[in-house]
Amino acid sequence: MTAPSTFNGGWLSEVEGGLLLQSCFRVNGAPAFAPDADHTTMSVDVLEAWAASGCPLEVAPLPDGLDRDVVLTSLPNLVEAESSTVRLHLLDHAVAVVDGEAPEPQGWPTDGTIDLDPEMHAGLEHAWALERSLTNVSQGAYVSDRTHRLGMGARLGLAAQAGPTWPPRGADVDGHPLSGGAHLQPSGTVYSWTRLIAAGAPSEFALRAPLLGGLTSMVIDLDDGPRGVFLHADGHDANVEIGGRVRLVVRRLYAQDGVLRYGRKALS
Amino acid sequence: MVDVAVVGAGQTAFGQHPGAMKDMWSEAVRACVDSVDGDLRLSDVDELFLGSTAFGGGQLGNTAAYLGEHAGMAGVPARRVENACASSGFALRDGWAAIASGRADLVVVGGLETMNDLTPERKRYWLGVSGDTEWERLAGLTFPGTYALMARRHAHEHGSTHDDLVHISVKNHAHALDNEHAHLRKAVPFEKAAAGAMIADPLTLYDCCPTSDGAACLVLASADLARSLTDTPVWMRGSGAASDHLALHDRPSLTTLPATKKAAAQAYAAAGLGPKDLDLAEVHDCFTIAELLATEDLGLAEVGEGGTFAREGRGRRNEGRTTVNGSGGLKAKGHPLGATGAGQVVEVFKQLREQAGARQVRDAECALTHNVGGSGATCAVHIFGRDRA
Repeated sequence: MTAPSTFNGGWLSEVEGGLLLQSCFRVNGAPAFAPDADHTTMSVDVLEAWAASGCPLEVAPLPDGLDRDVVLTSLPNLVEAESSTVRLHLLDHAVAVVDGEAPEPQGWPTDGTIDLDPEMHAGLEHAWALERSLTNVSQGAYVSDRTHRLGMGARLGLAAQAGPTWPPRGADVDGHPLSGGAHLQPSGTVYSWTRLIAAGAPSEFALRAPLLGGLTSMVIDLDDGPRGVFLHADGHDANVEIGGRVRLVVRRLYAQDGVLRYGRKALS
Repeated sequence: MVDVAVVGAGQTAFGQHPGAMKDMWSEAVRACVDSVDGDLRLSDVDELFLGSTAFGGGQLGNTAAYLGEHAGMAGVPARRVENACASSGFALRDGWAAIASGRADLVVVGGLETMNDLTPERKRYWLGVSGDTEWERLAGLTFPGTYALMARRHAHEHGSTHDDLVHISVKNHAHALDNEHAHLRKAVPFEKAAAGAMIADPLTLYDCCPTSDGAACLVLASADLARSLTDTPVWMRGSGAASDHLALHDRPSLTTLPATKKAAAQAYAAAGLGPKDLDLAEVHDCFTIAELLATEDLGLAEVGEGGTFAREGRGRRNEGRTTVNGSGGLKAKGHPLGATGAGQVVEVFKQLREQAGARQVRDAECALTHNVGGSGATCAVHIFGRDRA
């Protein structure tokens, strides 16, 4: 097992036969997820690292305990195969992807972990629970479940239309239908940014924004051309400046109609 | 085309209104009817165009018919015009077109919004509903955020500073002191505005307009009819309108509003006038950066020089070539979304008839209104004159 390096906001280590990604957050000395992370987001992260290391994205059927749609949509090249010997393991605030019969990896005590205030952490957990309640009903602006699901390919997998055009549109500037295009790379440069106080946050973030001390939003010039707007990933220092480089990682966005909704957020 | 004139204009005070929606609208209609010099019968009105976003959903459907009935216009063909904060700017354009095309002789154009009769929780759901919901909103943005993104980018590209924005805030608060209809009638010193509480970095509390209730009403008439109703009509010299991408990330630049440029070009061309002819401009300053961008996009300042324009006080009443937001603007007069565009015309109507009292712009003969929806997805620009052409 190698000493960990940072990847997508977590600690990434090489272990026997694979990769281990641990959360870099802790509460009262115990491991904890980032405020907007869970096993689903960390699975995407570790599989992105797996692909970046040159390994094919073919794995045994994904384990229970994560949102399969989110993982598969975020990684459009991911293939589940019964015959694959590559397995994803969901661990204690960590995930691992391991090929062959290697033992399930154990955690590595890491330095430099980010301490979350226990009160804030408890508040966020409570807020997520409230947000996922079916009594949490939106008024005014609203993204329906159908609209959300239809947009997941673009939101999570960065699926673009010809051009490339992203986010997707009904037609090009001349009114002609747009065909499907490539998936964009999850990286870019800050074009502009702002940090909003909690009171200025949309209602979808009303429960959590006060606990997080506000929200940081950015317009990003994606490396493949189009421009997009993203939140900064929660819990990490948002040292943002125009021209700064960011990586777009999958995180929880909010919950509505009893369902967690995920999207890409920027990590500077 | 038939020439069109404004022959009546009235409004409620903008701010915290104690009455119900229908009471507020009736008050504005009464003030408008009272301003008409001749004998106006509301039963003679051919069409009613009412701008409102129906904020809070109070009377979401058939809003115009409901309000028409409560203001003596039952039976008048009525419809609600919705284009976010530019709703009544577009209602005005629809009213103008109805008369200019010869389809109508007498039209009432109005705007209304009740924003302060909601609980804070309900209000939060409605603020920002006119932005790009699927992408911008879910990236944490309401309008303070989108305009903050513009402000930061303008500073990066053109060197404008937050102090430039503070000058706009201080100016508009000073202008509003003389406006009996203004929501915020208080002088704000530069130091206080510069040290305002942060809302969306770099915009502070003093860069943002208030959340206002209010209603405004106009009577438009064909040229022939106008002469029978008043000796001092205010002529509509040009109308322009345009739309653009809702989301900032779909636009090539954050430092200009193409919809403003297109709408202004149409209005200037129709009027045969240009920015140098304007004595007064009521521009859409929902945030101070919006006024800075408007001065550039309307041609009052060169591209990139909006900060200098503000810093040098060129928009102060009776000091520069063109008084910008002599009413106090959205920043201090207030911003009841659907009423704002019509409210701008109420100000112009008074100014061009020399009825603006202490805030009168000297020798005002030509004026412009600029009404933006959202962060620039829609824009209506109108030019008015004492002279018919």
